[in-house]
Amino acid sequence: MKKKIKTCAPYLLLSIIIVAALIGLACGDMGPDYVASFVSSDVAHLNGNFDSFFISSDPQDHGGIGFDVLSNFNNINTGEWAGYFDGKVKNEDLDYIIYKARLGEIDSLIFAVKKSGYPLDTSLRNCSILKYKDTKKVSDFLFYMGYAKRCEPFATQISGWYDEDEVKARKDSIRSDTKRMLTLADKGQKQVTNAGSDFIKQRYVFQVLRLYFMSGDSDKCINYYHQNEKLIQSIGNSIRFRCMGYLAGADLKVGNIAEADYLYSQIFAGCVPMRDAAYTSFHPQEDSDWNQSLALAKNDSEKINLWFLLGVYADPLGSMQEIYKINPKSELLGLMLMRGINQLEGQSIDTYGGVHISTDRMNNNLLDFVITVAAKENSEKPYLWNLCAGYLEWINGKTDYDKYLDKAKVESAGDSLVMEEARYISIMGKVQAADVKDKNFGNNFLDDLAWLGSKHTVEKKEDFWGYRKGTAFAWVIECIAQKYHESGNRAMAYCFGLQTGFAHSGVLDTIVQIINKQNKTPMEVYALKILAKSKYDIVTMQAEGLVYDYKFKEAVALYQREHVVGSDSAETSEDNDGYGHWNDVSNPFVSQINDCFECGDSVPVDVNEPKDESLNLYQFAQGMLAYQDSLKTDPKNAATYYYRMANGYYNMTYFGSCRGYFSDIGDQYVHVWFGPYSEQDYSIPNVLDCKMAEDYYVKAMNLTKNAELKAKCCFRAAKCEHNYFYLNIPKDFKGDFIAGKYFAMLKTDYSKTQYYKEIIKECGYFRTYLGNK
Amino acid sequence: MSMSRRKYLNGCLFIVTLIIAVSCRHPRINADKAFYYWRSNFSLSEKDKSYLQNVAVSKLYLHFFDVSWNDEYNKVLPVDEIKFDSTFTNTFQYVPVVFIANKALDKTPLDSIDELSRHILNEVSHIAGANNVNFKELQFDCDWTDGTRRKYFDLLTYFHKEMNQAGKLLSATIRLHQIKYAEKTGVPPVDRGMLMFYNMGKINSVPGYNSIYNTRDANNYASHIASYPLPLDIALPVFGWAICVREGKVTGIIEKAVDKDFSDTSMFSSGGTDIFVSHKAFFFHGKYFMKNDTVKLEQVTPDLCKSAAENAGRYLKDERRTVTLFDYDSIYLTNYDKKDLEKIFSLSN
Repeated sequence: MKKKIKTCAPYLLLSIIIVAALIGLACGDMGPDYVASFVSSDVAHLNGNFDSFFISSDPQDHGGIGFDVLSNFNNINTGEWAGYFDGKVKNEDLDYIIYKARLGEIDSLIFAVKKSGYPLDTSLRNCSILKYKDTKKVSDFLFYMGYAKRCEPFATQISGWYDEDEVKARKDSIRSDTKRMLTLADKGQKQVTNAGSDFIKQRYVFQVLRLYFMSGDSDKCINYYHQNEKLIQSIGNSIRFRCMGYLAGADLKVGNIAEADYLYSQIFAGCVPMRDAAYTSFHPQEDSDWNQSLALAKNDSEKINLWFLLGVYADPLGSMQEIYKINPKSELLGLMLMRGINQLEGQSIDTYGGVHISTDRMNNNLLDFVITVAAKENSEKPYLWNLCAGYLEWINGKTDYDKYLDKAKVESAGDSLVMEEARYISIMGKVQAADVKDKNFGNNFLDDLAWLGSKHTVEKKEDFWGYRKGTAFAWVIECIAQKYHESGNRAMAYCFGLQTGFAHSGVLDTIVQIINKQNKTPMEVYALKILAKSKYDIVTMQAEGLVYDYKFKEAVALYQREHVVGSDSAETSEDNDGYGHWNDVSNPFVSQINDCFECGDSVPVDVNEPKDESLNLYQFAQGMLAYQDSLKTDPKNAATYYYRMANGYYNMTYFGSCRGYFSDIGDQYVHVWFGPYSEQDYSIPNVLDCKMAEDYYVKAMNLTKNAELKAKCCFRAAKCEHNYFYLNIPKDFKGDFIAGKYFAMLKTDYSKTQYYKEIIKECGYFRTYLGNK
Repeated sequence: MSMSRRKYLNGCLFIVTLIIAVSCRHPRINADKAFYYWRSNFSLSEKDKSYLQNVAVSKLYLHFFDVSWNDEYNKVLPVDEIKFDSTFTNTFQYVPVVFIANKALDKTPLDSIDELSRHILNEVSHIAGANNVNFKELQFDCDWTDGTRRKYFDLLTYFHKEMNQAGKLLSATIRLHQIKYAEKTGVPPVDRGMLMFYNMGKINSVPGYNSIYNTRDANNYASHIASYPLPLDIALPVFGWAICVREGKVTGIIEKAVDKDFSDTSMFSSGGTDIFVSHKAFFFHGKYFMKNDTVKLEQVTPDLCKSAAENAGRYLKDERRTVTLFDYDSIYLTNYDKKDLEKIFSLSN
């Protein structure tokens, strides 16, 4: 059975402010998606080359190692050539010769080196390589570049489509021209002998190896590597690892999986730009392969590289245990620990609708191992193991986590990130342990919450470090909400985000009472801050409930009783944008042929109808009351009033132009936007009910003598009927819709009106009806 | 309507259905017998040839290449191209099969489908020409979606014209859901469909459930076969695999696994019928197992395949067709004797 600890009822809905904060942080410039994690790997202070391992805690993600391999290689390659020339040739000139120059230009440069005054294009004349004094070295470089450029197409080719000419001619493409590859390889082998330095020789060997590999002759590739292994390994540059890469590839092809995996582990550890390729190529098939790979390791460091790659590949804990046995001070242990923690978090923390921790996938073996290493204090960074031990102890529901955290703080000598991390965990533990029934509940952590809720950290890493802080803050707020909920204090639970939908109940009344209180407790003050709603907002939410019960009089009275209308209303308050007023919806007493939410001015307004101005909820309720009064005081125009009230009733429904009236109620709007006809709908009364509108349209239609208004009312009633049909589509119904009585009435009685023509122009359903009839 | 009356009518309906089903079983017309040969290197030994001829197989469907999207080059490219060994002869009829990944179609603009089609045609022609593969039929395999249907069907239309002009047939694989929801998924513009009568269920860790073939899932689809508007060949499964499970979640599949693979008791112990539990962490068949991981073996035994064949035969129209088995692999075929295969090919039990 899945058990959840650490608060959070399934229906807990996080307050908008927290969600907004998390989304905002998650969308920062750092790029990574929101990570369900409380521990940042920054705290391990690891070598920057491993940064890319930690951008995600997704266990399926090997760390997002993929970066721009090509530009990395290009820079490294240029740097190595710059070293060959003792830094005396400009990098930009090297870049040009290596990556851009045509073969003709290389030849020209060779001639210019051999014979001063050889005519050159302007672009080459100023090339700094011509000023380099050791012309033998320059010639070797240029000859090699000419050779490399001839080899390149065979290596960079992609297995593309045959073109039609090739098919017709039955010619082999370059991708299968092994003869040319082998001829080039022979030439390269000769150049190895002629070259003046091991640096150049090694590069010729690399080209030859690559040609053998591309030609599909794996045995030749393997043999040639071993013949030249000493030379290849003598220089610790990128070419060494690239040679190893081709050897590994050839090994795989001939089934020598163990050596291939061994080589990949060494490449993975030693060559950052090839890390992605090495990782994706590492695939031990059987345990015997793996054991043979381990046996190939020449020393502890190489063994650790293998175990490390296994940890990234599949088993962080197993990897850590083995690395620890070999060398407890290996830096890679810390790295693997952070991956292990992040992966565990990925499996145990979900952030859907809040931050939830599930302990059912907790790995006690990991906890035991971390505690053991922390206790032995023989790792490279003992503080890291204590910090993680404290975190894992807390997350596993143990109470002695603080002793590990305290030790971590001391052992890190006050490292700011460690201090922050330890503080997050302590705060979460403190809040979790607090008793909500205690009258002083909150007093011992309110200062902590203020710190946790602030955006800045000592390191000012708002985007990256900050979102861990955001996660902790979100969790703590939920924890408090759940505690209030369990104690029966629904108003405070609501303030902290546990909002169970449309708040008809006394919850809103209680919140208004808290707002009105003169002597609020510190927790109440904090709760209202988290709620981030003004009194006007809360009253409006209450009024929404009344309006959708058609209790317009009570709604108006509520606004007036709470003194939130008039000059001091929230309508002009910047603090209440989006909660208290609806400047973006059109006049609910105006009708449109097509249902159109927030159409506002863009939809033509009928002549003689009220101005298309926005009305807030208070004004809407007042308007409905005014029309009710007018029915009594001005009965001869009753048809108009019924019609306008019908528009009001219609437009406040989901189908109307002013459904914004309910969109701000509680959190139900989520369902409204995405599931207009779904089964999960509405605790909001009458949102989908057009019956009242239909009744009033019919009243207006029966009373008026104006044929245009009759047509309009009839069409509007048809819309009500149509909406009812869509909400109750018979099972297995096939076809567009079933027309009701009002479409028939329109056709029979009002086909001569101007409005009828407009309906035909605008309403596809009606056109379908007429066409199908 | 009262419950008893309803039960009575349901009973009558069942009996009538049964009568119709039984009475509709025609004597089967002889089928062309075939195998899918789904490997990158085509090499048939004399033993293979003799085995195939012994069971009267006349046709082999060859996986020529895949058409897939390459993220690195930002291009649609052919991959996993078949390689023929030097001993290739046209002993059998060969049907080149090209698999098209949906992403390749997704990434190809509609107005470039003809260009892609030309590329594919050239590729097929080149491979066939270079290796002297004579073929009378070309097959496409694609699990098209709503989003890729138009492009895929345009591609098939191109090939339909090209193949017909060359006097060849064009066929396409049809999955069971495409049979059941033919109105929604559309019917591909080809001469024949190859109904893949397997892989019908969800791959899961539930013991005893066979996602490759099980009668219950099959019957959810089978009744729609007769009304499908294309003439259908049929592909039946003769393969198996092992589903790797960790903490109840499927973590991978070991292709071509058989029960003896898990017989090493230092690694696995039995956890029930076709279930094996790992004792420790180790690499095995390319997967990394941790302690207490489980493996669920799903295999199509001769009896199960006969049952599938008989079930399919019940719903297929009585016309000449190819019955093909997926795929040609001695690991599984050693369990099938000649009589088994004869029954399977005849779609009867």
